Amino acid sequence: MSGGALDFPTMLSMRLLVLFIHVTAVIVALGGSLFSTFALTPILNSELEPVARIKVMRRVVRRLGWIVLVSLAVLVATGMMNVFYIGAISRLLMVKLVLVIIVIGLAIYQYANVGARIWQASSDGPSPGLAPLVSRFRRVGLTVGSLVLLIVYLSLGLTRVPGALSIG
Amino acid sequence: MQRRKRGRQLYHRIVRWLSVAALLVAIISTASYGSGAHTAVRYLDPPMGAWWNASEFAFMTVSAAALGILVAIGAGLKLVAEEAVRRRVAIASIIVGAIIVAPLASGMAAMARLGWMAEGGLAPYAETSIVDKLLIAGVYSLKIAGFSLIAGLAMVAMVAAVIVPLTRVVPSREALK
Repeated sequence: MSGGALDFPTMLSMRLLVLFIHVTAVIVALGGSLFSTFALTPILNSELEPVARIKVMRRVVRRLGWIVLVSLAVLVATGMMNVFYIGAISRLLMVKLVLVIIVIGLAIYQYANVGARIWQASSDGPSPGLAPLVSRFRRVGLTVGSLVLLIVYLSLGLTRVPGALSIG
Repeated sequence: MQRRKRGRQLYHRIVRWLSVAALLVAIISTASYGSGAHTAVRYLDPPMGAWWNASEFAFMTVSAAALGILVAIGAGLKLVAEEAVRRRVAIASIIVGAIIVAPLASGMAAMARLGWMAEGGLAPYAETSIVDKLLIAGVYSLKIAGFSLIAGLAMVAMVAAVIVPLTRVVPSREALK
């Protein structure tokens, strides 16, 4: 390797493939949540009647839950493979792993608990109990998003320190 | 109502019993591996001692991995809302966990051998005292259980992602009119 450019065999290596899937899973999990929170929900609130809005929202909650939870599982699997490539367990990695446990727990709570209750409560259309659940869903989603961003920042520390990711 | 309560207690009990069993096996096999207790078994029953000597490491890694997965299942279930969904997630997680525990134990055992800050590892293990060996084996088991806990939570998330959308909502009377 010279001048930061990677040669062809390195570009086709298992290590880069695993890293690519790992980064893609972050993009999918985080991007989906952010799009739903900051783009879709405000537009639904302003453009649709309550009945139609609830219909769309409950479908979004279910579909997004599947996408986010599967992405997190892929993240963990590829993350563990990355640990083998890094070849060491540092204090930074331990902090990251603790945050990963919290994020997965919160994501399960968000979609399998609050999301499921939103699905139940909205089965007959708008109901008074729905607003606090939607608000909690949003808050937990924002917390998960913030923690994922923190994990991404810690990951930069893991992979960008000299010698941590010496490809080529 | 009574049957539903029994069903609810059953999967909770299964997870708890399996967790206790995994913990006991992990403690016994780790203590045996660390202290070289297979020699005592060899003294009483040589073929049994030889088998235990060959198997205790596998018992230690698989039980530690199983413990991590079971703790993850127990914690994950507390985060799921509906009883019907929780029961399905519990059953599916136990089945998937039983399938993946052996390969996961192998992978996590390799991962647990990675040293802190790329230092050390288990290389000088044979030369250390029995107390150090017990400590090293204990930390090794804890690392396997910890890594398996994360993998187990990811597995529960995956199972919930599949099970939750499949759960049907019973429509109310108003919706049926």
